[in-house]
Amino acid sequence: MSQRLESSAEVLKLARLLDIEPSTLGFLESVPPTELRALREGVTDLIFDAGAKSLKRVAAGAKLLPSPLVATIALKSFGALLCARAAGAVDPDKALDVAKRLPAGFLADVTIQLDPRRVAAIISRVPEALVVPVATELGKREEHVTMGRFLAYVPDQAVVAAMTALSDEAMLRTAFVLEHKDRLDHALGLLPPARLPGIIESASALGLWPEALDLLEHLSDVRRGPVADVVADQSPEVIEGLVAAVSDAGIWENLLPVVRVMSETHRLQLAAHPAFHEEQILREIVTTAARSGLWIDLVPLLRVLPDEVFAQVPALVVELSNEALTSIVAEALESVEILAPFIDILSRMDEQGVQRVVDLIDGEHEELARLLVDALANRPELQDLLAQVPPHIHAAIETAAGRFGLRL
Amino acid sequence: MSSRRSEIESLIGGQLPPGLDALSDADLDTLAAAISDASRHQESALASAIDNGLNIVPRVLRGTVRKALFG
Repeated sequence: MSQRLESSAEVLKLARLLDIEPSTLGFLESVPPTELRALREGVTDLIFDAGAKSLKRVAAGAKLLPSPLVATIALKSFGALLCARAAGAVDPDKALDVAKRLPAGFLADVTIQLDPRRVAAIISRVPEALVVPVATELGKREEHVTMGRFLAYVPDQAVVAAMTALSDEAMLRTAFVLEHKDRLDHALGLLPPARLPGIIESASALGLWPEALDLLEHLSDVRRGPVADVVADQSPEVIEGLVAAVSDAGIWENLLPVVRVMSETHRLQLAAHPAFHEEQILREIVTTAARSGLWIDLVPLLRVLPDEVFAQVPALVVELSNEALTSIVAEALESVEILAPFIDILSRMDEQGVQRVVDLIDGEHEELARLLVDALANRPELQDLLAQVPPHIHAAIETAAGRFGLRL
Repeated sequence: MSSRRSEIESLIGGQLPPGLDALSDADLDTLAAAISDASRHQESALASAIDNGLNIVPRVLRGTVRKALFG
């Protein structure tokens, strides 16, 4: 998951925990998600530890009374907050026996007040027959963060049952803040095949592209490919909206892997869209791919851009920082699939661009020179491709080799 | 070091990591105040819930039952 989206999801979760508007915590969006998660766990402990010790006696009392009576007392007297706090100390069998006697609305109230980590033993055994009405109720109340915490502890089949009961919007918003997203691929694979494409179609109308791209990022390539094709099938207006949303949110690192797994036909279709031909958009894409080590995800898009659009790319590469340019070269030398199009880009650079690369190799940035010299000296499988590097750049590499005491 | 900063440090059990440390004092104040408000609200909601929970118990027995159930 991109750090940016992961931080956004963490801000939503922390804001829900503190019962404040997420915008109040907007300044946290730039904080790494691991730091926000640690903070949230500390806040969760602070809030949920309050009174926990004394409520153990309530839990012990519940064990001695018949479940129908406990359910009546819970509903009519104790209320959701007390029940949620005491639940962690109640025997799971007893808790489930009581829960099935309570209305979904009340259980939803309790779920909102729960720290799922403390009641994992109970939640993991909640039957689908209870999960679905509670999830439906939470969905109606737009309690997506609560649902994301709750669903993290129920079995996959129950996740599917809950997701099936949710609207596309509730599902996208819940998946975005779900804990343990590594389970998403398997759980979503159990949904009816038509559901995911439908959700992608809804994402645009709902203005939820970041959430949709985040969802796609957590799917395996096999499952993501067909859904990615649905993205390319959208109308020109929708694609324009997608590009604008991705650009605004700065989340190209989420879209590029989606483009990579599209079928060639769909990628061509997407690459033909004028929104991808604007210089500023191409600049953002190239910069992100270089900075995030995603050149391998960018190459499939570069290959299908119309010639006149691809012609803009060399100049954009020349604009990159020394570190970003070196990072692309390092990535390209790892894979012929990337190296070939990169050499094509070098070959299309104007004199000024070539000179920038030569200057870098000549001394400004030794790391780049060392990478290229090492490839020419020690990677016989790359020789044919490296021979196609523009002559001035090739000469600079040979000179650098001399500086390092090597003969090529 | 501001007291807000140390409140947050005690929550995460150590020095502020770089991202949180880079926040301005004003932002850390906002964050610490929101955490403190939520914690206070939680304590008072729990106290009210306990009081409400005892409504079904006859008034004369409430003290005893409260002590037995909630310490």
